[in-house]
Amino acid sequence: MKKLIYLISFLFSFNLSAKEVKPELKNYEIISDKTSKFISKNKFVVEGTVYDFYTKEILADVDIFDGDKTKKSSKNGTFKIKTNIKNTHLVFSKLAYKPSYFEDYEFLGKHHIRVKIFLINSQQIEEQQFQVKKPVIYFYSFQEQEINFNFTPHGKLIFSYPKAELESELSANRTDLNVSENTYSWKVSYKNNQLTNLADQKKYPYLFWESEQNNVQFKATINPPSKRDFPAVFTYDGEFVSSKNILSFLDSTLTKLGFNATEKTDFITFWAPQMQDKPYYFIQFLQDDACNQFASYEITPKPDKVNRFYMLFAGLEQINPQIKTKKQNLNPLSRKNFYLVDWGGIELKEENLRF
Amino acid sequence: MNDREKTDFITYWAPRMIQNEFNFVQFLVQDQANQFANYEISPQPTSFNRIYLVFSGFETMSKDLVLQKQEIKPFSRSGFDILEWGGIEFNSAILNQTEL
Repeated sequence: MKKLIYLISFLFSFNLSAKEVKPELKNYEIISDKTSKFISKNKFVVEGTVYDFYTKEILADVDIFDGDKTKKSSKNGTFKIKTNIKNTHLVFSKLAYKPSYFEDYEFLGKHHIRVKIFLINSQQIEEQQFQVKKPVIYFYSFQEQEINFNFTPHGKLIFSYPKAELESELSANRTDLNVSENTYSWKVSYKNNQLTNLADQKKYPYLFWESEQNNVQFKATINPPSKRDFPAVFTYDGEFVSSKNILSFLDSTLTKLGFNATEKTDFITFWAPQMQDKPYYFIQFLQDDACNQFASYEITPKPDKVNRFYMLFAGLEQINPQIKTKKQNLNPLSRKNFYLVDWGGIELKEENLRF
Repeated sequence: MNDREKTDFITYWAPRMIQNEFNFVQFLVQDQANQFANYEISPQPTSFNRIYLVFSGFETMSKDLVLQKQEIKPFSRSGFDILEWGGIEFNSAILNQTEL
């Protein structure tokens, strides 16, 4: 009897590449914090200057809200606000910038606090590049058939295996097809649980692509919905998981959804080692049509079900209690007749959790 | 390596390697992989195949490095066999230090 045990071992502990030095994002810097005899015991004063986080330019006309009233920063980016000690934070907001919260700080009566406040341009956030990693697509069918798989990544395709062909080149003289410039295609045949790529006549266990994409955000509901109602509360679909529980969390989530042993192992051995660097992770899953924001698929003949499952996650030094989350209700995979299972993911950044 | 192993290996490593203009690629096979981890398996497999990819990225190809193409013996895949693959990305500075 032929017995095959297939071990995969990744050596992540040899972290010898010096590529990843992440700047620490701090949205404020305390210059001094002193008591003053001119301030009453139930008030404190915050005085300072507002800067652009990246360019360090001074920002004028920034709205500063303390829970009771709004003030504006001057032409020189300076501000001074006297506020009641019942207020626990100040919010700095400006058009085209993400609101910045001066919080998690002990505001005491009679205190005069001098600070620098930094705001992040939301334009710059949108320009961050994210890698849509490892969409892996498995095929299942009772029937032998040829399948045409078109996919349009919403970003630059960086790798595919087997190599996908640019559909616009394949159908250059076909005017009846409406093909985007970024549509790629695989033509495969499926027989006895095996996928053969027609271009090279080789067998593949799954199809694979990766792309680079900007403008990816975690999904959240905003309450109250109007931006004028302040402060807005964002509730993110998903949950915080400590890095030591990642393995059991992913295992139980995927098992519950009906992933088979191969899919589950492929998913976990790919992602879990990448989710060990930080003490906590925020994890959100996107399913089926919600995954069209990364790439849309067009498959002929049409499968009974295309099960898509993408994980968005961000590593965190600590869980911010200000970030509200809501546990997700996920749909189990549908496995009947001709169906596909497609999984992938994107690592986002901690600051993507704060609008 | 079979289709499944080959695809797993390539889809894992290739996207990392194509981010570099050039890659220096070295394979460590069988006992050479003991420097990363030793295994003890009972019952003993008929064949135990290990292949590790060691690579580092370069902007340009250095002429100072002297290379020799590797001869790698094909795997024996009879009886109770185990196949293991892994890899490490090195900072290219390390290669320069050790070789020059």
